[in-house]
Amino acid sequence: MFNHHINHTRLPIIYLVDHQRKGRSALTELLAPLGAQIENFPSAKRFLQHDINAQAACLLLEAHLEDKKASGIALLEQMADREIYIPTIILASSSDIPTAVRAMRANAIDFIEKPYVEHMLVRQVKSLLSQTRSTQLHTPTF
Amino acid sequence: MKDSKPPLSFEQVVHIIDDDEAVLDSLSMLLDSVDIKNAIYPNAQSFLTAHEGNSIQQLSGCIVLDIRMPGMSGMECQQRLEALKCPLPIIFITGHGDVPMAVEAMKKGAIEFIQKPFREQELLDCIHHALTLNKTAQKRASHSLDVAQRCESLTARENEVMERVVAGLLNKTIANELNLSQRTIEIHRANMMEKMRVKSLAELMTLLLTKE
Repeated sequence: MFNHHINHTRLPIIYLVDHQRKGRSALTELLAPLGAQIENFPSAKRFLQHDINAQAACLLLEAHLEDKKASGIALLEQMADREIYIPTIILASSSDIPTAVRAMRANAIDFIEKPYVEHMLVRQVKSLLSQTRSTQLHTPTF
Repeated sequence: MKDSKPPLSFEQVVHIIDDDEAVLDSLSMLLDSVDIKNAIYPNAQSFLTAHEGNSIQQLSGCIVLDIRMPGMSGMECQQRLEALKCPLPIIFITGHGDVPMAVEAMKKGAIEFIQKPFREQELLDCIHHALTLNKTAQKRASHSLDVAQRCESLTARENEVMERVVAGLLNKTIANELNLSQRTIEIHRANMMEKMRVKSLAELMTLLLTKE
């Protein structure tokens, strides 16, 4: 009769992908007050194995996963190939112009050098969350 | 008499804006060597002046733009061009760029941000890419314009009928809604289809979907 598996609370989702546990827990703590469902992944592989929700509000992605240069950007490009578009902010432990340009061409909405300015990042994620909420309100459920 | 010249706007030109004369000369020579039409400007203002008025929207090709120049900077120039609805893709070249600057330029729609010194082939690849993008955008724009013109040729009544046909309504329902006879709707519908130059509902839908 009724499908009870539907997520009734419909919390917006924030994905974090960073190989450094410290980086993930700092972000989780920083973003916890925004009232989203935060999901952590230590690698691109683990993230891609996951059943990615394309309606997620945002993805915060380290540019150089496992210290491999631009592996995070490669993940973003793979997602574009699979036609998964989640608003993505790249956080870069080290950066150079070609990597930044490549990230922006792969549809990142921003490329921020670490250490990030906390309140600015929070503000940016907040605005992405409110965009998701308003589109969800207008999306009919089938 | 007929004007046999093709419209100038379809000829793609690479506009190079840089305050360094040596860069202008070498890039111009490089492009000449591969038969790409190009024009050089010693600063942003001279480009804007050369294409004042509406003509900037009719340009075809791309822009190679230096970031740091005396007077108007490359980034300011990008902003001005955006405000003027200049359709040319922009490739930035810079000797002194940093990451935030590159990110900002890309956010505002630059298609490439290259650091000097660069390999000639690298720049040529970018330019080819930019010219392709520009051509695709032009085709799309002229198609939208064409569809828009067909839509404009419709009478108010035909337009009302089209909206309802596209929404999947039957002639009978449309007739009821508009308080007209079914026969009249059929005539409006046939005229509308002819003006839109389509033969089936599917064709009409496709045309309208590709309008933007």
